[in-house]
Amino acid sequence: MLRPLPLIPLLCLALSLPALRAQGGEEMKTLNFRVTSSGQGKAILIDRGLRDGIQKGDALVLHPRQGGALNARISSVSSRSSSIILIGSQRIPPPGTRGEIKIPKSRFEDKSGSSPKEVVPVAKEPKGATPSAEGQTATKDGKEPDVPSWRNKDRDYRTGMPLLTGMRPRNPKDRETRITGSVYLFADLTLDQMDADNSVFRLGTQMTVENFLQYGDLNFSGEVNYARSYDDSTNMDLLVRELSYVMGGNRFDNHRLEFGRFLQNAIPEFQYLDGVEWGYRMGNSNRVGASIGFMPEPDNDFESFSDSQIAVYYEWVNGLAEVLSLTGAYQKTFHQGTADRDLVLAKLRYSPDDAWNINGSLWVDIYDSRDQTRDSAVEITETWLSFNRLWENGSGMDLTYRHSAFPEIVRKEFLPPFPPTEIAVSKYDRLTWRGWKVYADGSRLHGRVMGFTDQDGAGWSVEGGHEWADWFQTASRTDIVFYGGSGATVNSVGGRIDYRVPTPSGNWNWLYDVSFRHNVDIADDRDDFLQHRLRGSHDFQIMDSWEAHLYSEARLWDVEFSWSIGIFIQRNF
Amino acid sequence: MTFSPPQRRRRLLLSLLGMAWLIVACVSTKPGQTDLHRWWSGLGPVLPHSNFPENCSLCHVGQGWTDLKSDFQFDHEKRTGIKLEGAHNRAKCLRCHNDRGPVSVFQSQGCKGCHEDVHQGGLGFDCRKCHQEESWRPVGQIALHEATRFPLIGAHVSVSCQRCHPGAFTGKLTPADNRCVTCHLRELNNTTNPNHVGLGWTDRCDRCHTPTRWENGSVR
Repeated sequence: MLRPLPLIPLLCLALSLPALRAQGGEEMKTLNFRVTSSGQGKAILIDRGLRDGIQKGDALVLHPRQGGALNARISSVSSRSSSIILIGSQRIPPPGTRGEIKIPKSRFEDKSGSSPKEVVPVAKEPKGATPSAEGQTATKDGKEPDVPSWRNKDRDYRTGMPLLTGMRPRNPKDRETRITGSVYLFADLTLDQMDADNSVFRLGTQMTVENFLQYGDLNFSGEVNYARSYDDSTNMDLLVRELSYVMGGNRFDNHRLEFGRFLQNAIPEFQYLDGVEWGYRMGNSNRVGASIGFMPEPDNDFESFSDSQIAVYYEWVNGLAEVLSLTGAYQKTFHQGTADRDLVLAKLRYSPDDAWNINGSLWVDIYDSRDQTRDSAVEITETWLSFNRLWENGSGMDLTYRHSAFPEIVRKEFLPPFPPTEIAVSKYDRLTWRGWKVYADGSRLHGRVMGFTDQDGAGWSVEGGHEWADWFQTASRTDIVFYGGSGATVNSVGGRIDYRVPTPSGNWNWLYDVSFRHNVDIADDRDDFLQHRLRGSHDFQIMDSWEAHLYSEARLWDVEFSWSIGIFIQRNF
Repeated sequence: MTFSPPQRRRRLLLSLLGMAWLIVACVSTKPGQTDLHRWWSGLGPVLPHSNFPENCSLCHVGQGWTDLKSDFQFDHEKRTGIKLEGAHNRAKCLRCHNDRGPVSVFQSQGCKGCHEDVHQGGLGFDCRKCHQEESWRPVGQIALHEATRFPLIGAHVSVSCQRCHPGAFTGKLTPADNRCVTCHLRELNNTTNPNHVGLGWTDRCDRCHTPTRWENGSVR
């Protein structure tokens, strides 16, 4: 018995061979495009048209940001744009979606045999015409308006240069006034089984009013904070971190002047200031500047006017790219009018390429006969030196050295509970190495080694872990870490597992940490205990401008426990 | 005229600073240089558009160039090779591409190229030890404390940062001393039964108290 069914596909293939050969043999040009308009019940438009060689019926592929691909076909064409119809999908690609279309090269060939025709710019633009998006909209009858082609009128323009080469940006003074910044709320409720309350509440904002009063920017940063302690003491303050006005410091003005309350711009090591800072950028990018004013104490309400300072600095950089930067600065402080601290600061920054980053800072205090607790005329009170190396695949390592000591000063900078006797003798040196290696499958091996010495002794800590990608769930991260160390009063060994899984609007995070602790000086019957910590948190976005973080944490140590719940919510504007 | 040793030191310091200033000024300043006032203005517009599509209406709306479409999207990684994550991916373009100069210069300096160091140079250069790109809310502080002299144990895990670092709200996390009395001086002074200060029990609290319990210590 004859079975005709298998013959049907063969017959179809044979009939389509000539067509396939013709299509396969033709050289094609790939053209990228974007969706310019779409929506429920609306036509989907792309930014390519007749002049790009597109014809009705051409097939194309869209690549939405969420992944996957959508097939479509050109349904109508105008000179600069086209309308498309999706094939086999109801998904509407949002504006901006990228895609590509293959067009036979033959469409670009000049039938007359002359060289390819270039778009010749219109010799003369209409008087008063400004390039704007409005000029690109279609007229009511559906035809493209006769808009002159844009061209760069800069006399220095040469073919191959970026389109806007030589154009001068708009001066900030000529721009519209606008406000940017964020408002945030942080609340943490922490209680233990004895009802000791360690809760914290912060409500604040930071904002910049650009082009305020036509001269510069107005900055404000402040918050109301409230804290309770286990001994039932409470503290509530209004903290104004920043209220300042900044002029210049941009490509139109080499001088930068800031006054009000602010963190010193050039040398943040010199702390916040109620005063004025001036800086000047030279033609070779070197910078020089000075500041004068009162120094708020770094407490909860920034109490001011007890201390004042003057400071100068000079920053040398090796050219516009600023690969190497060396800074020298000097600050003289006064406490209630009496000379207090002489601080000399040196900073180094070296970033030869994307791989290496070297940073360092050296704080040297200069003493005189009024400084009773110091024998030498100079003392290095703070040192940071950091070598950072990154690889292209995301792996990296850094080595950081820190030295810290407390200078003899009258200013209340080292706030209670520090007793003066400790300030005089305390010092601290720490060397830390960190490294992480990223593998092709997205997993990550990481570790850290730290050693320290202080006025009483020495100690160390080590940590090593591995983070897996997609372990339990696609796109999840699972980090398992083991650590141990010998601190000043306690020896520890422990481990933690950190699991994070993304959601469409954020991610969930779960953490469990368990450690065995041994108190060095405590009696044998009470010196060892286990400590557990379990934490769950959820980060998510609400609409475009809100971001939120909710968390809850429980801790159990020996026979006691405590727990926390908290929220951080921020709106950017 | 005679000078005391501190005065001599001060004069010497000022003289050295003055000489250093003169040398630096002579070496780094060229005649007419300050008249240029060009800084980076020769480097073109705030945000070069050399690789952008020709259709301006893809991104811009209105009569000027400052307003972008509400549904504006830009694949920064595909266009520039630099992937933006977290808050950086949500930031407005001009937050980074602004009048200060080429963003590549600031980007090469890491976080501090754009963000001011609110910790006033006291916490080093690698912000990512405590912060992540989603927001500036610090994360993993308790785990990070394992790499200090004072791993947080017992009740200390539940205490807010500013109890030991009073400048925490202002970003100044000065290292804390690790002796008990440094933080618990008020408790020590308030003791009545027995009166610790009266008995001279002003140090080595850990002989009787443990960091795991709020309740009274036991006598050994």
